[in-house]
Amino acid sequence: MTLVLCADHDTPVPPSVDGVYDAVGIKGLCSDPTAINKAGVTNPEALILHMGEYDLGFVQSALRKAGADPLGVPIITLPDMPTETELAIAGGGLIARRRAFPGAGPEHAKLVWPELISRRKLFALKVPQYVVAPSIESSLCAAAHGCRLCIDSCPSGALTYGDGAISYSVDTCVACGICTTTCPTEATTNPSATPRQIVAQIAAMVAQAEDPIGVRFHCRDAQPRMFGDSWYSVEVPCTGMLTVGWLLAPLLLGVGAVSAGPCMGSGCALGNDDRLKDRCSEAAGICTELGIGADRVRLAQQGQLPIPVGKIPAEAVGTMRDTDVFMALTTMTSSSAVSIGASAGFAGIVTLHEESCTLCEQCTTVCPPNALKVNRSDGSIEITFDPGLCVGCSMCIATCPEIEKGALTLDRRFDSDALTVGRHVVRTGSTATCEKCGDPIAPSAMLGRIQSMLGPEHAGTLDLISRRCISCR
Amino acid sequence: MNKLPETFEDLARFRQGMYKIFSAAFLPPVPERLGDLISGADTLEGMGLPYLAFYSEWLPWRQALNSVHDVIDVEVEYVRMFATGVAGAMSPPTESSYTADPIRGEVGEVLARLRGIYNDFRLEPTGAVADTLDHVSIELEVMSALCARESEARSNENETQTVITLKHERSFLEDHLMVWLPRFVERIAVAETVPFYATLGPALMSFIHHDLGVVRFQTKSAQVEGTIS
Repeated sequence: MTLVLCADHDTPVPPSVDGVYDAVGIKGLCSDPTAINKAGVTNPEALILHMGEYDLGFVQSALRKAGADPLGVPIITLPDMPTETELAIAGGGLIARRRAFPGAGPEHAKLVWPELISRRKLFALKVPQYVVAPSIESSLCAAAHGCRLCIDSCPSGALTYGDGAISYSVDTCVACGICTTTCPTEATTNPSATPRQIVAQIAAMVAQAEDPIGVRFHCRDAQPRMFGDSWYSVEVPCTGMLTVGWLLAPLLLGVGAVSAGPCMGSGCALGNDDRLKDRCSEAAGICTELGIGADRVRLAQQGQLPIPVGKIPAEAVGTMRDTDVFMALTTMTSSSAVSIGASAGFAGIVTLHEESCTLCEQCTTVCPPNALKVNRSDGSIEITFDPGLCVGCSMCIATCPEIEKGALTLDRRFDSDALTVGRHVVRTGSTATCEKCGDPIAPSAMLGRIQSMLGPEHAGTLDLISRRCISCR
Repeated sequence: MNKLPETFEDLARFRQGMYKIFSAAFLPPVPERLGDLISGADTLEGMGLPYLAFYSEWLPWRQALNSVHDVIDVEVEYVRMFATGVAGAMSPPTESSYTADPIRGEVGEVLARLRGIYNDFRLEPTGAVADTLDHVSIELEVMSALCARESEARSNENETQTVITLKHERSFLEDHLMVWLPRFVERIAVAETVPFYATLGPALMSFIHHDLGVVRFQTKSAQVEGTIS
């Protein structure tokens, strides 16, 4: 239950919070991380260090010796002198994030050494560092149904498909986390940056702050990981992983504004700049539509902090899914129905058109988040759709055999009216039943389609397949 | 103390020791062996073990090792958990128990394949479980021998031998240990055994995961330098 700070450069130590955590300042911590061990600190929960003055490998080693899992201990680096209040706010956030850490396994520790150490020259090895690699829970993965969203979004080609499952190459992975926010079924996770951790960190900072604060998402590799002028850092593996939901969720928690910049200030090494800009633009567009001002979400942290829109409990924010956050913001701002294009966000409205949809159910079998479902009952069939679950992945379009006839359309937009409706029937029809055994044969619409393909010369065949099931023909 | 391996040669020697100690830990726990394990663990911790990620899983086993007061308890558990040939061993410590169907005669295939691999590696199993070619201790000892060979090749600046050995290490890890150890360790976890074995499984698995990362990193370097295709 300890927040540990490097007390060099007269860094103030914030007061401990009774029953929550102790704050401990240690001189010389950055230059000698084993000072944690020498000070007898066990299981430290968060660190505040000075920028450019420590070696992460040594810090991780000291944390291990102190009984902590370095992959779960958040670190903030200070560029200059913060106030005691700022440290208390940031520190409280880090502690909350650590306590929401779900734990990591050996498969999550990705070894990072300087690239391509020559074996010939036998360079001295540096202390290895570890970053958190994602993992895939195969029982949740929709790859077998055709979902390839993680593969398509992975900037390093670390994910491939084979033998009915996603294969993951930890060597190739750059641990950017994009696959985790792209996955519609939450099968892919990064235990150091789960929605629950991010929400807990932000909520704790807001709770400690007397005045409005801004949240700045920054990359793991960004330096400095700073805060100041009422803006507080929240680290993510790569800002390219941020979705519209992640960018807007802090506003639900009582944050005045959100910013997210590419790492190093000079552009994302992974080429995710455009992705981040699209997301920010989309999130700012939603803010405009909701009438709360586009400057709520920005790429840079300059400018006045607006008064927070409101505040709901952290538990109510959930997993920061785009549609959930959009709906919560709509409710919070008491906005009338809003519909906005979702070019970058994960949302969609599926419509099945009666004149060409044959009720073949293909779309329901491939929909990764089960937004499209089928219900069958005696003599009828209906397909339902829940816009709150749709991630706009287009797999329904890709699989629809009647897409050229316009059987299915996907409108990629957030629509508060549609979201309020929840799951509803989008297509219904009758099913022909076998005159002999009573089993269903096929949807009448599908038989109609077959009739149009066969033509009148095969009327006898059609008559047979319309009256009898396969077993009774 | 706690000196980090300075070169890949040192690292290979350290890894050799790690495989050696895990191999010995799955042999019958006679008092002399437990003493050797403690001194071996001390040595490895002085070679930079705390700098590596699996130290977190190593520590509980280390504590369990130091806390063994009555060797008999551990010996009894060894028989219950691992003794081959005893019907109903909780966690058979052999590869074929997890990858082969005995009814279809696949055990022999696994053993024959391993015999071929050991011949290719120019290794001849000896010692306590030499007849059981797929025993966890033998397979870990094979990795230990390969690491020793890699260290020697690096010491002699024998590029070709280094690369060949790295390829052998990687293939043996990927095709054998990583295939069945997870299930073996899972069986240990559910067996509610003494702390010595309950903590040994996670420590071994964490090390193997880490070591595969180390070997892959080195083979990737070799690929870029053009010495591995």
